[in-house]
Amino acid sequence: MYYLIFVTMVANIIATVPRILVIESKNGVIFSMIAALFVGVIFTYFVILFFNKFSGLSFPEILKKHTSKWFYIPVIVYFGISWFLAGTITLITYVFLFTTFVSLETPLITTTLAFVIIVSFGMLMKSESVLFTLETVFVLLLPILIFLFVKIITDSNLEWNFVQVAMMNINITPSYRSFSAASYIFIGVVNIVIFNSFFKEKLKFGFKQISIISTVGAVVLFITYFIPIGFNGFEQIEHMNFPWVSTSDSVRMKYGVIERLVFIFIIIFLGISFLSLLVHWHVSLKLFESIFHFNKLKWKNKNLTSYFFVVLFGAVSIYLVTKIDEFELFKYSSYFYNIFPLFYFILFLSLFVAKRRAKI
Amino acid sequence: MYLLDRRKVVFLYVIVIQCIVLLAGCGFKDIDNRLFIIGIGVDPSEKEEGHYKVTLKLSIPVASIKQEKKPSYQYLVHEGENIEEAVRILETHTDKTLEFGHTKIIMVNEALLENNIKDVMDYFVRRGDMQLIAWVGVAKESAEEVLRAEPKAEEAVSTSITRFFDNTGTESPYIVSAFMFEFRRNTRSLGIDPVLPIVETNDDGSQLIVNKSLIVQEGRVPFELSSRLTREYNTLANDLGGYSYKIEFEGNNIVVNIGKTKVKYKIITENKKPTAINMKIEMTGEIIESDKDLSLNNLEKYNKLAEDEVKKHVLEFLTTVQKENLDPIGFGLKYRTMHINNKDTMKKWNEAYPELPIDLKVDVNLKSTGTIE
Repeated sequence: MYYLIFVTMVANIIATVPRILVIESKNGVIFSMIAALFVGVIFTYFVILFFNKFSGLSFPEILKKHTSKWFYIPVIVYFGISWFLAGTITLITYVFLFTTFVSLETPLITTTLAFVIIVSFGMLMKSESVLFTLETVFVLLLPILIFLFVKIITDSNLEWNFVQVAMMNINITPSYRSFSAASYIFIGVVNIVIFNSFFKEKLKFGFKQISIISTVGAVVLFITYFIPIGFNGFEQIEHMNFPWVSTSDSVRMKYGVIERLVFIFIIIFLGISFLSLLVHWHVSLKLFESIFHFNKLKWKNKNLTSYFFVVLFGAVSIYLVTKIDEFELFKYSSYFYNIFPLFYFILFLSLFVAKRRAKI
Repeated sequence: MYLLDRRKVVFLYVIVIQCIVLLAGCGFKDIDNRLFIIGIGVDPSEKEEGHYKVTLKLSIPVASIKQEKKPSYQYLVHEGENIEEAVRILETHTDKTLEFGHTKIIMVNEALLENNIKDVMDYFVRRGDMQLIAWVGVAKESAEEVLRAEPKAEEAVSTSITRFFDNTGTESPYIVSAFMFEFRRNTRSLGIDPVLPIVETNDDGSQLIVNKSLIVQEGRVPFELSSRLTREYNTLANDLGGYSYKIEFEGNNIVVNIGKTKVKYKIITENKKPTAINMKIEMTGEIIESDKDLSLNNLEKYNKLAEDEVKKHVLEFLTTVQKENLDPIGFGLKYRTMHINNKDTMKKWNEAYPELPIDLKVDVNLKSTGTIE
């Protein structure tokens, strides 16, 4: 469970979240982040609380059991689409970043295709295997990730005065956009909608767990927002398209095999964003599978519904990569973050309904 | 019996096909089709106003380090309306792709610093494949000449000019180094002014000299710091040691070598207005030269003398930049960290800074008189 939450938190460092935060840097980001921290932890707590009532059941199963058809189909479709988009945002952001910084000559489509094909296999795995992949890759990457952040934070060119200047902008009222972007990093818990079927026992979520999640969340938010400011200054931080990549490019490893930290950073985040993409799309696929089942799509006694969705996901993402530009990506993903409270609302509403029906 | 079931076969095929597709080029260019740029120089054009002259220093790959005695470089020079245009034309001067990922040094002509610095730097920052940890240097006469200099001591695989700045070879308080991101940050931030090193060559281009620096501020002629002032700046801004002061007393000359330096400063405010800069410097060092015998008992006395000397030098630096209304140390930035941000924070500071009194305390601690008394 922790892996799901932490991977999403870390993956967002490379997605659009820091960009939105730095753009809003003159609009009271600090309060928004504090608020987002509280709200995020509370939501996480309630989501787990609800799903504990139905341990061993996934979200579609719960809804199918306890609610009527006209209710659960739109809800699940909405969730599926949201989750697909969440994955796609990570994908497109990473592809753009890859072409800007690493391989300028490679066409966008090739990079996307390489991603999509690998992830497609991941999506078709059993949910259990997805969890194991997640765990293995994350545990392997964690030491390097910690090394990266320690290296960046202890760099002598990180000017803490700028961080303090940014903190001195605390007197501004928070903005909704930065709040929704900041709270988005806590979204990882919602992956439980599918993976709950593997948590046969009740998840413990007491004071210890809450404090771990809120500490990690606070640290991640702090790093996400303040460290790029320390490297790039407060005045012009909002002009940075990839605040975090530029930040990692500002660190020099004097005696390292690779002098530029940015390459390690990009490779590590290749793994992280792959995980995040895999989890999101897998959940999305499972959600769609739970309601759509095309009996006609058969080939040698095998139903091809899931393959159909995998191809569809790939096709849509490739189409989007070629159509969208960086500005639009940023605009749409910030819209996407903005409507996320609605997502939570629907989740709680449907769970609440299911819970009441289940009691009756 | 099949060894692999159908799903595995399909999986294998897809992996193999993908490998073939990716390996067959798809935009990647091999290393022998690339030329690595190690330095870029930008000068104002000699022919047309507002145009730039771009110099690229390319390193020619060598087969074996042992065989090559001297590094070999190629230089490409072209003038264009903007940097991109010149670079594009230069691409046609060579049969290989220009690779910017290894650019370690950007030399800018002093004449461009006054008005064009944002234009010039914009291109380098905007290119994603350029390192943000490239060093920026200033050339007084011509950036091209500085890049073309090939010092005698240069080895086949290292470029002298970057080794001045990277603190692996020479380390000296006279050398200021500025990363590209650092320069950009300080140019665009309120309350701190960037400092760039000046790189000079001797007449025949066999030597590079870096010991002066420039304080840059957009829209005004950059202020040059002499070697001595550069040293004071480095002491204060980067806590660098490794230099000496000469003290005269009672007809006795001693030279004190400073090893470690620690600088702390804060801005004193009253009634929400800055009233003074409070600075404290702690130094440790030793006596390196003397024309008479010294006694260890007198170290206290020498400490005192050294303190006065250091104080004189540091104050000279601080008042000089203050008079010019420049702020290379970042006092203004420090002031901003102490106050909740509002519109007139910077205004108040800017009004007060040129006349702000500086309260300086120096604490020198000499450890020894060297190997002899």
